[in-house]
Amino acid sequence: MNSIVQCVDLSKNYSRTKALQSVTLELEAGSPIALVGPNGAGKTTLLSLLCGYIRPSSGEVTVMGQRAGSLHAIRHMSALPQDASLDPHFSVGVQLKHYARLRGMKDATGEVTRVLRLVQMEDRIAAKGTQLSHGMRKRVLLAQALIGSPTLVLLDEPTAGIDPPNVKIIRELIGRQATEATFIVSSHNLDELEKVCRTVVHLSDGKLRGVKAIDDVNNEGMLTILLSADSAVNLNELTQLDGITDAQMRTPTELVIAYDHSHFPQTDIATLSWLAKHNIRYRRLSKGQSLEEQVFQ
Amino acid sequence: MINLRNTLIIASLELRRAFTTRRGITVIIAFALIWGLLLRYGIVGAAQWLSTGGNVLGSMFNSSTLRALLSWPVPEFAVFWALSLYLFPMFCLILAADQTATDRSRGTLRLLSLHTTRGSLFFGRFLGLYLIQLLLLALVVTAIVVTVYIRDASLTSTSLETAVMVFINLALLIAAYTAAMALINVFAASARQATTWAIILWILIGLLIVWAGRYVPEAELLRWLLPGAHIKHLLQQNSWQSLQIAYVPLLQTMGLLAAGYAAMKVRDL
Repeated sequence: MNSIVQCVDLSKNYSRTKALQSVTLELEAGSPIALVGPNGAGKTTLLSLLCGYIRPSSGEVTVMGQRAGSLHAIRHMSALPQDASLDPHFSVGVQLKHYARLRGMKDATGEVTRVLRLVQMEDRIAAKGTQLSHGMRKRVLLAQALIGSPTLVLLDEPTAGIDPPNVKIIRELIGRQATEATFIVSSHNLDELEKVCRTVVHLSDGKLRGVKAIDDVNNEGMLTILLSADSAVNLNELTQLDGITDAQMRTPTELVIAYDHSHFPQTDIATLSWLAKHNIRYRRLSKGQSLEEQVFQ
Repeated sequence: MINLRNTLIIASLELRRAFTTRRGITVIIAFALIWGLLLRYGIVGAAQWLSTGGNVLGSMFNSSTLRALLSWPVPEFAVFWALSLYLFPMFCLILAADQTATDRSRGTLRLLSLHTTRGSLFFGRFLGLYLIQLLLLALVVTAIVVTVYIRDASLTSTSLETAVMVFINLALLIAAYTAAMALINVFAASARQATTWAIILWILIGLLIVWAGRYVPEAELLRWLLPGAHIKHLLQQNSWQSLQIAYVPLLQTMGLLAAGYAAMKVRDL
């Protein structure tokens, strides 16, 4: 197993608050990993422990087999911390070049150009952090995390509070860079995570609730259909279709259907036919449950 | 772990911050104005007084400090010596106030800590701010040498030798204060808080030592742990003999840096 992160009975307390409780976890290098959970779940605490910003109250945490925060660990990893800001007194270029030099890069200027190009910010190299929008600052901080092509990149709420165009740029970048590094992304935006991540680490109340693969076969046998507004569905009649075991309206426009996938694999087509017959319009159909449903059901 | 190369890179950015950013240049202009005024209206005037009627006053008051000052070969340096031994530590509380505190509260320290070690960060910031102060000190000392040269060119060689002696002593004194600010910065959330804590700590610890000394006379020895403890002794000196107690600020600096580094290694960022 190519373990990139390992936590053994890991706990972190802040005075009387138990931010993380006995988390035992092993993550493999590969496709992006989502770290999800409600506010106060312990996501930022876990990422801070992995970065070595804080020390565990008990237990062990290693990154690529090295103690988190050690010189050997930070050589191969980088991060975008949630609330970190750029230094307002220096330009983006000066700061990124400083970081590249600290990483021992010989062509620091070339590396700065490379990472700024990745986040589509190369034209803002002379700007100071205070002259950039919130979304642009996040992209610069993401560029900072890509300096030196680290093996592991930790992103804490990379899309929090930023507009859709910037979210799209960051999401696409993570998707492109996923072949170069393993990303661990913490976010409340589960729709965004679902688009780029294949593994989900679910935390709640400081405890590990599970590690799931989004494409897990157990996810088969579920349909999620986003209906057009004002669509009335007779759920009793729908469940009479062959193979359908349950049908629920999660929201006024979101229909979730459970069916026997092994015996009735064509249920999706049958359901669409049924919707057409009853003149019910839909906007989107997806197989399986959304990440939100998988995590918070 | 401390990476020397990264320590120098971090120190060089601090120099760049001081001499190329608007904020840094503003501080340096303020510093230059204060010392310009002190030089023009304080040091030059007082030096003239010392070189004429001061001897009479010295013998009248029988003050060993005043007599030591009167015996300096270059009176400008005598006045500068008496002023700078108290003023430079005060400036240090401001100039070296922001080593890691603001970066910690802003989160920049978190970014930096993933590109270098905490040791390089701690010592790099200390070194950078120390070098800035040394440059400013060199600037002031040079200005006094020039002033002496304008008044009496025959004093130039004596003035230069005195300048080197004064520079070394003040450099050691500043090192201890800068190290103390580095330690305080590990716990402070802002530069202002670091300065405030430094003032409060100095006064409180000083009072505590005096109070403890009343009951246990040996407790008075603890004052040697505080930066500036040897200033009174330095005031009595006017030659290279002043370096006989150079080990005091040196040991203080090493002790404070060791404590600061140890705290930095375990402190949450």
